[in-house]
Amino acid sequence: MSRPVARFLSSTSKARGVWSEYAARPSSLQLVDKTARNELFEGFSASGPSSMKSNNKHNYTSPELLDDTFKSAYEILEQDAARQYKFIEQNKDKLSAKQLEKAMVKTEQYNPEVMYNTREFADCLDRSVPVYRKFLKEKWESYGQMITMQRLEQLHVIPDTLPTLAPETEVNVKFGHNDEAEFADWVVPGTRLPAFAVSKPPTIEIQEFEPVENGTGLYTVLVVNPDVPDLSCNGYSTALHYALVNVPLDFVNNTITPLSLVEHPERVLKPYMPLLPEKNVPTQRACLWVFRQGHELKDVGVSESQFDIRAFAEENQLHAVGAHVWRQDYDRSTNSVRAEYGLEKGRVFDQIRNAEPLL
Amino acid sequence: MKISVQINPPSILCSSIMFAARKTNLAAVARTFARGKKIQNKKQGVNNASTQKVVNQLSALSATKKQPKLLKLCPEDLIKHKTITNAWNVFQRKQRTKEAEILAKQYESIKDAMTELKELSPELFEAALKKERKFFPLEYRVPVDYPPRNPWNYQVKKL
Repeated sequence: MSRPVARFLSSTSKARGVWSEYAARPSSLQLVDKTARNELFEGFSASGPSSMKSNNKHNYTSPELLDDTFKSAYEILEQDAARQYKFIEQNKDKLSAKQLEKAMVKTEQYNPEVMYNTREFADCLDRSVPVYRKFLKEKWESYGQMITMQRLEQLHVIPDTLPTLAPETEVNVKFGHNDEAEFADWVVPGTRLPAFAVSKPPTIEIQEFEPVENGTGLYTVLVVNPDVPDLSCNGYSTALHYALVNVPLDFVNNTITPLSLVEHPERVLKPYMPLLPEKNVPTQRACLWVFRQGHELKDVGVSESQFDIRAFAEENQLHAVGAHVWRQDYDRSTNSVRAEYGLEKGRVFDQIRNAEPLL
Repeated sequence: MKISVQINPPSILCSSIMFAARKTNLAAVARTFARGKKIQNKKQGVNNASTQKVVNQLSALSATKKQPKLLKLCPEDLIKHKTITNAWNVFQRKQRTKEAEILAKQYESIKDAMTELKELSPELFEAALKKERKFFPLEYRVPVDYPPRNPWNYQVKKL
């Protein structure tokens, strides 16, 4: 089988457009897979596209005149991108951070190499590049954000802890000490987890997508439990289980690991204490809130048992940008985890019968 | 998640050799679970022409026929296809903005001319703005795309 081989973008060609220059542009905009890049710009070899399975490969034929049309389409788009780059260079000082971000996205959004990367290598995209961040934001908004908001509303995290949330950051939580595959992965919001699976502090990934105007780059993370039985008022009170303050995060360094906190103990305001529900207590919610700080926090005091998260956020000018939730029940491992943390044996409450209808 | 029940011919063959008594049953199972293939049995199928016509009509209306055909392309070609679509959109957008610019320029020049005219002679300005109600004369033939079969009526008299 012979294929017309359209050679362009080769190193010998004289006129190289903006999308072939990697002096000013980050190299992560280049297609990750070198063979795929070759095949994209120079046509397939006689054995067919290498990205296809071997049994289909030989029968595969590209649509007619695709390569030639692609070549001229690429030129049109590249010229457009060049105009955008020129515009950015001229107006660099006048544009705000958000406008600059938008303009940067426009320069690269139609680059076939970028499109290929977002399609095939979505897990390892460079988060410092605006166009990839925009893609990741769209991906998050189409699924992760909706799941999180649904769980926050259905489990009444909103408004039991904070009145509402306009989500701006993607928050993922993982308990890295778990060996079992069931608990080692990122936690889906709202999952019920056993005590042993949450016995060590979590790894928290907080992904910002857009530059923040007048941002300090500092974040506060709180884990609260609004379901602590309060016998004095025959109701429930809120307890603080984990508090991190002044955590510096950016687009690339977006993960808080337990190890990073060992290196910077000053960021831990309240050390991690897992939720340990006592027997026959209704399912408890661990509500993780992420705040953007308006300024660096100094000498902050917290009351652990009767914690008022709304007052705390207001006092310290904290702006909630993301949240996560998981749930816990009393289970077989609760007592051993209690012992690990040096707690006394938990109370046993009377069973509430017929709290929910049978059907 | 797709759950498909498929019994491959070799496995049927093997099992049919092993359990000769179940041979017919397995064949029946294979027939019911075969996917993507229309099996027309004379007994259960359509052998009436009018019913077949209705079946054809209904299948032409079916949801699967209305779906656009899926592009079966390899990733590289799909990216090329998208790039071409993007370029076409960019090209069209440019054309549209160009047309809009021309229209805006025309409007501006008309506006300038009229303001100048207003200053120079208000009477002419009024006259230019005056709308004439033009009617098509009744005697005229209606303009059509093709000449009539009878091109000229020689007997016609002016009213």
